[in-house]
Amino acid sequence: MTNEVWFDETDASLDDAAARYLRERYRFEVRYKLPAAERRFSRTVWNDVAEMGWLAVTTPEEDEGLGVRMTSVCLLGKAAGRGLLNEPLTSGLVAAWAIASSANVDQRETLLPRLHAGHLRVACVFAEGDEVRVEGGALHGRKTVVIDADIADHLLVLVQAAGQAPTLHLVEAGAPGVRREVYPLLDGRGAATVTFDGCRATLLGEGNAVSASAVRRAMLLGALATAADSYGAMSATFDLTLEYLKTRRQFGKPIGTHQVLQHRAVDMHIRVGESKAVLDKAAVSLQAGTDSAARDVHAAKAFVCDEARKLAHDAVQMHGGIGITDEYAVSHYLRRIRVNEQLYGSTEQHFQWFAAASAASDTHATNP
Amino acid sequence: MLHATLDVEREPLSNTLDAEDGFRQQVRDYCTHELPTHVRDKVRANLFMTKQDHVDFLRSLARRGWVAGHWPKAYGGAQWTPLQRFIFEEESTLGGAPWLIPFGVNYVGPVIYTYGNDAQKKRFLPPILASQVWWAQGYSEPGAGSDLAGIKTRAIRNGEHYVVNGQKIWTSYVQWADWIFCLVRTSEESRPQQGISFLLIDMRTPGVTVRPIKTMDGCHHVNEVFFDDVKVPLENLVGEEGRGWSYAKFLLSNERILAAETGHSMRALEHLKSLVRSVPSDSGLDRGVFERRIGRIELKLHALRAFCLAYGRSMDPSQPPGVEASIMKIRGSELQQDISEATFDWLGRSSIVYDATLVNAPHASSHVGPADTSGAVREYLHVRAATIYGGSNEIQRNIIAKAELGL
Repeated sequence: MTNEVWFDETDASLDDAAARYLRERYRFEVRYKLPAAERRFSRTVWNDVAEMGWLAVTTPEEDEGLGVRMTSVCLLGKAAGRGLLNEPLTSGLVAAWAIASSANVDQRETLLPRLHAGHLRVACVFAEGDEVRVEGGALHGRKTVVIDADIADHLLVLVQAAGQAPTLHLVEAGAPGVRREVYPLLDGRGAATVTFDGCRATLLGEGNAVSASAVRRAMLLGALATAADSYGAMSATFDLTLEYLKTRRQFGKPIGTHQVLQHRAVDMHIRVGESKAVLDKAAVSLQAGTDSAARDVHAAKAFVCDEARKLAHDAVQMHGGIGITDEYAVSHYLRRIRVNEQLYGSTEQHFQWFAAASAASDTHATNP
Repeated sequence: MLHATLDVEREPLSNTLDAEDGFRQQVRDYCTHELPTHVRDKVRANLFMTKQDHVDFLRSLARRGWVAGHWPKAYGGAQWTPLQRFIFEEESTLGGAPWLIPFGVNYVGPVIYTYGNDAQKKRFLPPILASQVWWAQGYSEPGAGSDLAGIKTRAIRNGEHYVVNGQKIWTSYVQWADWIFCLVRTSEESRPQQGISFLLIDMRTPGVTVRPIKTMDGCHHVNEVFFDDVKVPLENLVGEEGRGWSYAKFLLSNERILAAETGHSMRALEHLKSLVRSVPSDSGLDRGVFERRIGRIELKLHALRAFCLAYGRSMDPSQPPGVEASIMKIRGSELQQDISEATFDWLGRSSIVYDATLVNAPHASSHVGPADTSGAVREYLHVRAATIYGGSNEIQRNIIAKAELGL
């Protein structure tokens, strides 16, 4: 349960800056009073996020990034969840990695610096099956609930039709042939249903299909960041709950003196501790590219999201009335945790992938 | 108390069941022919109801004399037995009727006809039956939630008035209310339960202000109410000064009798089953596995209904409800959460899209998924409160441990 094993100077300073920024500049109580559009996305915050280097942690150094750093993805995800960050960090990290790993030199030189600087705001349209097809060099199809497509200026479209090698395309969100129906998500972030009707997009790479392993890794990166986000949300929820148990008085004493609540708090503490261990293991595995990396990330997404939901339900209950209100952070954490369950593969899908990976090999023997 | 309730074989079941079935059929007929369709449609889609929707519903009940079916005939009720009352809740809710907002009909009405004087009965009961006067309940305070006896709102006698100062919170639908009944402290005693009085306050009185609290479903159910030197005539005291706690306990036990909300769960379960039949999972859930999850939920509902009916058939209407009411509250609220959580899960990617303006609309619509998806998400969010309000499930368990188990 220690992070020192993989913490380097870069991670330490990223973590410190992230914690300080979200605590001081992104306070829930202050943001709650902002108009809805500004709460959804703030250009100022986004510029700050870029300036702190967060968008460069999935780009190799030769492409002017900070290196492909899964440990940084993990710690920034945790910070984003804890801070209820609505700006599209995970989308940016996945997009940067996908572009860095699949685009040609010219494309990388054009796109990545703009992405790192926050000038390119990308939503990832990762189509499954034949949801989106390429016909005569143009995109056709439809994808529902694309997170961040409500505020993106570019869409990164992954096409992976059955029996064909996957391809990646970049298109302006306002381009002819692209239609977006935007809507809010449960937790204050946003999404859109994106329809392509013969739209011309830039094919990434040398006109070739991207490697299947690069696609898988992009999905795993998104899953890791999302699991980390849920971990951040659940640990913050636990902190609020513990504080409430110690300060809320009924019947002349703090409610935390009741054994029934003490035991529930202990169960929450266990959920947080185990989730952190599972998550950090996944980050290290994905960083090292070990054979078990995919399995470990599936484990993290399935386990953390499930534990986070249970913890958040308990947290609402233990807060009583204040827990169900919109003006207190606990219900926002519950809603964010529930949204995260569905991003970059659902809890159930990751569980099934984990089970399949576990059945395929004797992983305990090779992966202590 | 509990073992006697479960011993239902002594009851003359066949006669009881005939009468029950006849009454059930009447409630079904009402739902089919008399319940306003715009109300039924909104209820089935889990949309947020307006005050007018509730009034339309109550007026349709009034034509059958069912607004306050459980009140004595002398006060305009139909003198329903507890079992009839339970059946009405179950069948009407299943048939698309909304939750009957209880503050006038179920709460303050019975307190007034049980403890109030003749003038109060004459003044306050008829407008409740006619849905002309809307009531709210002023119980919880910031410092008095599970510990309700800890209320601090003071009412000090000054000539012909009480002067009320303090604050209530979690006050449901007080934004629609003409009157509020409040627990107020009229004296400081060694036991906090003593010195509490039951006071009726006109919401138009100067010094009463309301602040809305938005809940996580984005709707306006609850509020804070502030009392700042509010002058309340002495005649608005119900019963005796200092006896308010016993009236409140009477009222709370009335509240819990319907707490199983089996009709609500039956309706929600039907919705879930039809959803699973008609829409595939987009988040990898296996239909067969999921149907077994539904089966386990249905089994819990089956058990809860058996418990409620056995209790209703054996209950002595002249006695206040026992701890069975707490059992029903615990099981019923947990069941509602199980069903709404399963529904949310099956909706998968559609479940995370939520636009509160759509659930405050007159007709069901959703950005993705079936039209009633928004309502199903709202239901999930809303019933997180079911284990909190009306005495949290932790408090219910304390009641059972103390009153029934002697712990």
